[in-house]
Amino acid sequence: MKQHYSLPVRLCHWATLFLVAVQLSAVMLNKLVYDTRPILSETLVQTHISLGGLIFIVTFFRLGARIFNPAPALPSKAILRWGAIVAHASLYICLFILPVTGYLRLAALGFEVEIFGIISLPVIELNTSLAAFATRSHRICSIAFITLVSAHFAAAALHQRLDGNAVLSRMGFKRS
Amino acid sequence: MNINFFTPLSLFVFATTLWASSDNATERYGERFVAYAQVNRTDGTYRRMLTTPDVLETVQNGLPLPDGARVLMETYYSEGEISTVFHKQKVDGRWQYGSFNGDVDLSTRPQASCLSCHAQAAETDFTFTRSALEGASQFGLSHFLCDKPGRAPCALEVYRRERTQ
Repeated sequence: MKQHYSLPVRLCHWATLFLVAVQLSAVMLNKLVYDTRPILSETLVQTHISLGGLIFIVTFFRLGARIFNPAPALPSKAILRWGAIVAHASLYICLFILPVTGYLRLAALGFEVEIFGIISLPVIELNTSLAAFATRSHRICSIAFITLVSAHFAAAALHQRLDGNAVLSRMGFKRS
Repeated sequence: MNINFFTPLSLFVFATTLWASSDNATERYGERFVAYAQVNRTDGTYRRMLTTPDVLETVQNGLPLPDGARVLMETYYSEGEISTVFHKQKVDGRWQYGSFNGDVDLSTRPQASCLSCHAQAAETDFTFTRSALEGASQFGLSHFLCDKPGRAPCALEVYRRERTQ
């Protein structure tokens, strides 16, 4: 039986975790410096935008790798198996929705979104309703995402502790 | 054109406002800027909003803020001491933003952090104090009380309420 996710999926998983941690740090730091350090604040926002684009690309590759490489078996209990499927699917959906709504909230205000100053995304005709909808969606989705990540982490830790079934090692790099 | 008693009175107030509020700003920025609003915050800080006389004139005539229009926001964390100055300029129908401390630098560029907040004032051309601009000829320098600290944007209603002075 397969013990690990495929190497590309594992690499993308930990890269995503790192990028999401940086994203959250940038948001929290921005709250601290927004009042008094406008240039640093703008740098943090631009970093947030670029990393959001990178997360979108990483998620795209990760989903492809996940589809084309078999994953380790899910728990045999139906409730746990379906819980894992729903949680994983929701995480993927959030990882796609967050960059898209982040882009729309600015592009619909006529702002040219750039990823690391290399890729320029198209500007949309001014549409303040769309921008407001995207802003709300981004906020709601970010709260849902943080909740899901917390639940995902707690579930993995709980399985490791209770079952000792090496759930964490499925995403690890140690040979079993 | 309907000219009544209030027309010359409004013009007089407008002219007096320009004269009284532009001297220091003119010296500071090297061109004529007029203070049209002061927004006091609950944390004791306040902001002074300035623009150029031609923008005030355009707005009095009910027209939208034109290309080239500039608005400055001076921030004060203690009485009379200017901290960061934020400013924006309309370029090709879109607002660009800039800021400086100390040496005057009125250059602007599109900035996501500024635009994100100003989006809340989309209905008034991304300008929170648009109603104060329109009221400048009648009220001179308007005073408002914003119930949020720091740079957090206030609801548009704050700038439509009765003025505090």
